Amino acid sequence: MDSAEPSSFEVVILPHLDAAFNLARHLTGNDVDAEDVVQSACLRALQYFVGFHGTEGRQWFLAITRNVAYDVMRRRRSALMISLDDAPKHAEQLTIADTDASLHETLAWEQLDSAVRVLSMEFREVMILREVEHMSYAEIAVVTGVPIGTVMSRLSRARRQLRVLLTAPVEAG
Amino acid sequence: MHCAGNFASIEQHADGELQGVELETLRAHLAGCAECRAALDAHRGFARHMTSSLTYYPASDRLRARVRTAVRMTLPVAPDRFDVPAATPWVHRRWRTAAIAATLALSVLGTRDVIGVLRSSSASTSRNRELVANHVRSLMPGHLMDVESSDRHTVKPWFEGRIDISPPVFDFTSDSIPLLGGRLDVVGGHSAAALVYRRRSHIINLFVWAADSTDETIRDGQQAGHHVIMWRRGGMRFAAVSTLALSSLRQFAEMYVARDSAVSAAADR
Repeated sequence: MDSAEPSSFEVVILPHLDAAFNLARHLTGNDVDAEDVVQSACLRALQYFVGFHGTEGRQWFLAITRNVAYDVMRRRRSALMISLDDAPKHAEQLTIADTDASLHETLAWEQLDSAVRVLSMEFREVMILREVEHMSYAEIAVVTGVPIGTVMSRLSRARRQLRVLLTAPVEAG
Repeated sequence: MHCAGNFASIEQHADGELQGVELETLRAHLAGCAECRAALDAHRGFARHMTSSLTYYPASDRLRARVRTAVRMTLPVAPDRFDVPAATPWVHRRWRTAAIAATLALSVLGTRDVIGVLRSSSASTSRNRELVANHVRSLMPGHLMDVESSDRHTVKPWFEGRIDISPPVFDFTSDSIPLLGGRLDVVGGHSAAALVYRRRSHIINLFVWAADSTDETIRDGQQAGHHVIMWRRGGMRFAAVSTLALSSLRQFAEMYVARDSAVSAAADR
């Protein structure tokens, strides 16, 4: 009867391994840490799986993955992490009105990954969850543990920063 | 209206998050505002490019395999869930208790030592589960040891000041079970010493934590393909966890207890 447990775990959680790894990889910036994060997240998820009665396995698992990634990065104090204060000052003031409507066509897309890496983890995760996982604001709020209003403002600010970073590439170190 | 393409809800609309009155209001506005229509297009274009151009990192086959193995090894026992009728788990738990009792009856007959009866209470099940989870976690990269040494005179003092017990540390290299090192762990909310040994390709974690002074003889349990052998001695509780065959793990436990008794007997003399 015990076999009912891992098989339901495998059905509910393991399909989201790619999503978890992608998120962890963007948050940690390297394969080794990302693999450790996902494996730890699996064990942690397994430990608490008995208490998981929801149907949204993806949100639940990504929330755990995200928390483990934060733990790991807090320990690493990686130089990759650039605080909000270091982000371009003018990014906050930039509005759509300041940009050319056809801006996206001229952006340096090959720099997208490195630009995203420059964002703070809080901004990076909302971008990944929204643009890659196509999660709704409400779902992102569950995964990141912040109110929907915060999700909206983070997304908006993250996008503005990205636009600035992509048009005027900064020395990302 | 001089919104200059900054109508507040454009971004939410591009994300598909607007509905009802807000959506109607924006639509009405867009109909008469070229700047906002352009801004909406820009948002959508940006999102499309993000989606298509951001590198997607899928989990490697290696990670997938590692995770599957870890999941199978850490298989939790109770309580059953997911479409299992409420009545069934209890029945199965009783079956399991009966099976464990039968196994124990056989093993009592088969061994020289008096073996404590394995309590099949949920407390000992969750303790076993925790021990196995600790063991599995220790096998992940970088988690096995805090102090790496085959010298017990290095490992034993390392715990001093880090934990409120002084676990006896022995090396069994001559019996092909070398001591690899030790680390701090947590068992049942108490800080515990974990001594790490290896027999052939199997890692053995020996957890030691403070307990009351009643001594208890060796008893064993099984959890998710792992064997857990527990005993209590000198105010400390011991639990050896490994994927080793039960007989080999028991041999290790008996060697350890024998060495421990010899040391304390010498100290008493």
